[in-house]
Amino acid sequence: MHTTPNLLVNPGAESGSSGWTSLQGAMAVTRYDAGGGYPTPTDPGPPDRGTAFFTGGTAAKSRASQDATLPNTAEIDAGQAQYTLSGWLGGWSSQADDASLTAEFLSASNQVLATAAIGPVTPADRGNATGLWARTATGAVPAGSRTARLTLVFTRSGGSSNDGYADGLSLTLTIGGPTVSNLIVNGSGEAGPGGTGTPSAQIPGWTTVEGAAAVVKYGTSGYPTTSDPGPSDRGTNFLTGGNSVRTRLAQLVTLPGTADIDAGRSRFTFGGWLGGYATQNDGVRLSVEFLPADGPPLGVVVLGPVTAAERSSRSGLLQRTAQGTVPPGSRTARVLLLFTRDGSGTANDGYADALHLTIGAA
Amino acid sequence: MTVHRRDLLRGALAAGAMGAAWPLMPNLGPAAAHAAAAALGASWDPAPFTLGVGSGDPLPTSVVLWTRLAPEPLADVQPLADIVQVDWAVATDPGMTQVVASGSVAASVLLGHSVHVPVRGLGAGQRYHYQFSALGKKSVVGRTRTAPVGALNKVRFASLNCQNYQSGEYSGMREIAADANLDFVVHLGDYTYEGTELGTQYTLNDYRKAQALYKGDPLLRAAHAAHPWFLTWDDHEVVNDYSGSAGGAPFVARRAAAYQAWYENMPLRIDGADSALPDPQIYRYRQWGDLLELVVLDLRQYRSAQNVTSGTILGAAQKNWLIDKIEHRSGGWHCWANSIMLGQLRSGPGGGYMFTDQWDGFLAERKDILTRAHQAGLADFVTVTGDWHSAFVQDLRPDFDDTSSPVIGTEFVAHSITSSAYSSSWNATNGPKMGAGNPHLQYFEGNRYGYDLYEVTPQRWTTHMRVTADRADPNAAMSTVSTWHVDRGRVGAYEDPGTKGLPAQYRR
Repeated sequence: MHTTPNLLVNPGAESGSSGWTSLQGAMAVTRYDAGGGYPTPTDPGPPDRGTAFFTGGTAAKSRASQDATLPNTAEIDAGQAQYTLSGWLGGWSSQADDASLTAEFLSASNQVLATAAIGPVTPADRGNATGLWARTATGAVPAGSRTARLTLVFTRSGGSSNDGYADGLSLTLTIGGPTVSNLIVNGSGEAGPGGTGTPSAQIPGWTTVEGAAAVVKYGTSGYPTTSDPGPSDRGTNFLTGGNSVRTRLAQLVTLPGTADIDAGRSRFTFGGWLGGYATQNDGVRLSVEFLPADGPPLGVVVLGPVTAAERSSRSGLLQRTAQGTVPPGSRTARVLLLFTRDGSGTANDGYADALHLTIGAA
Repeated sequence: MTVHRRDLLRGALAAGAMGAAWPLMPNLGPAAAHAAAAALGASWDPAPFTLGVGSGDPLPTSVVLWTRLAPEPLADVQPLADIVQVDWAVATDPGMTQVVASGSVAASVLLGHSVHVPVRGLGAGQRYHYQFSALGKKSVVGRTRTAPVGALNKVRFASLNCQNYQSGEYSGMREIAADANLDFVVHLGDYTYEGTELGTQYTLNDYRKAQALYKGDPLLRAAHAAHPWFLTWDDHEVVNDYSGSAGGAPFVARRAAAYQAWYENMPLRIDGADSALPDPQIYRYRQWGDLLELVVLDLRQYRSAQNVTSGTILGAAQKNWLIDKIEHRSGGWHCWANSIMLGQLRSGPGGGYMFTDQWDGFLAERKDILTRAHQAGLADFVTVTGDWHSAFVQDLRPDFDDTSSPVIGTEFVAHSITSSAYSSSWNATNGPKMGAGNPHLQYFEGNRYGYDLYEVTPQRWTTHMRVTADRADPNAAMSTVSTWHVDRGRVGAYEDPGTKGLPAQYRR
């Protein structure tokens, strides 16, 4: 199983409106530092938001679209492709201007075979705050699909500016058989009760190699909340480095499907959400080694740590993932979390959640 | 006319044309980088085995074989499948007709298509030859040997350190590669440099390309192919003067990238209870018959900040391990492969410590270790050391400020192979000052470049300082600038009468 890169061109308005064809009105591109009441770099929105986002301009309705050619047509026709349509959509204060994104899956003869949509995000969804919120839709790509037509629609409810906002848009396909289960045990810290930062000598599923980690509840004072950047299905808890300068947790995973692995047909997806606290550069590094029955590692993947700069100095967790071929001969995977504390302070504020390792046929 | 890479670089700097001349500059595509590297004299073996072959960490029945597939050595992405099958064979003859072991291994993009094969079931103290094949091509044939067991009359080995590519040519490695009677090579670190004004490495691709550029020197590849190596590292494989335990996220990421690239490009055996890539445990203990015990130290990965209370250059686990090796000897010469100066170095009488990045920044731990060594009766103790770019010979004592403190061993600090030392005028002025300020110092020479060659018998340890006639010439003649001996069972080194008349900036 593997996931394609984002199929959209200019998905976050960082290249103006290039790649998009205007169908109605006039979609505009606005900078986060524009002022004038538009979303700012610190309002709710994508953690990696770049400098600009899309708006509806000044028309009552603006529409723009682009066509994405779909890869992996053999798998699509075999019913082995899933789509993930996602993006950040929003509006201004209590006003009902909004934005939505649709994806139409078209056949070779441009017949619409299926439609997916995200948004709009209402003022009630936004708590009447200005900003952009993440929305995701998933489903099966219909057999015969060859093109996805993405259309952004901005609708004005009043006033002169069309304050529907969009940024961080994405369409990806996940290719392969049915999703296999996560091989990492307790990769989200949900296997036991969460605390307020007190380290635990034992975390279910993990071996403590150095220091001592903690399982912390979202919303604990001084830690990320449920609305800070992090996994959408974040559950109740996440993992931290406790109070040690360095904390290491390890987990040895037995790999399934050794025949496929040895034939070079096994693909892995590995990742998780990694983060830290405000401007501090405490962090957590996530790695996995693919190990043979006996001998040196056959492969290694290192993710993170996520730096304060990458988090825009905001407390929270960002997603880091990697895919690849499981090296033939691999029998186990050793997953390692290295939480590091930078400088002084007591808490080791490397944060980790929603860690996953899945293996599927290529 | 021969174009020397140092001259070329100097000229390019003056002309402001470094982007065209320095192959690791950003925004240079692989073809342009390759051409720029070629202009510096870099060349690689035929693809896919461009970076050559190597072997390392010999044990009595095993040695690690290494290669890395890199058809485009300076490209970010290699034109290879995720997985490439690599076949290997070990033979008793250089023609590879008498094969005694063979197998296949998957080279994965996840480790830069490197392979590390721990060949087992070999005979002790034997010479072997090896070769890889992949994608229908064969590598050059490498030569290695296993560690002997039991009584031994002699071991000959060389040490290398500080091989800044842009600073000169590796004429010393030419001699090492040609020395058929060498048992092994010890590398004491600063194998690559993180960059200077010419460009700086941060990411895995940056460090991989730096490793590939260095392997673009045919003399370095030849030295790897000729002998098994024992390896440690110093700071420049990551960044100058770093403390491995520092926890800031940008540094943690950079260190991991550098360590992974280093491992991918070195014949290192994964060993030890706390080894998990990208952070291999590289400290280890090895025996060469009954004649030598080699204690390879890692003085970077676990160190704290310098000059702090409870500071450590070893880290708690390595310190306990080292104490155990000191207190439970197995006989023979006891030699530390020590990346950075162990002995105290004051700038002059009553002067301060010159560099607290070396063991001088970890005074309590050094005193504790050397006191324990003395109390345990550690005999025949020699340290071979890198980092300083100049040669020192000095007594080791638990308390360097107390001249009545007993001498318990000798430290040989080697010249760099290319990395620049102080000027000859600095050396002439400061050699005598360092001698006056450090009563344990016996010898200082800072004007030459080369490597140390060790000839060790049950009766005597000998260190030959081999130096090049011209750092800018790969074909320059090598000669001995000083030879020192330590007699078995007696502490303290003495210079061979044959070299006492040769130039040095200090002799005690």
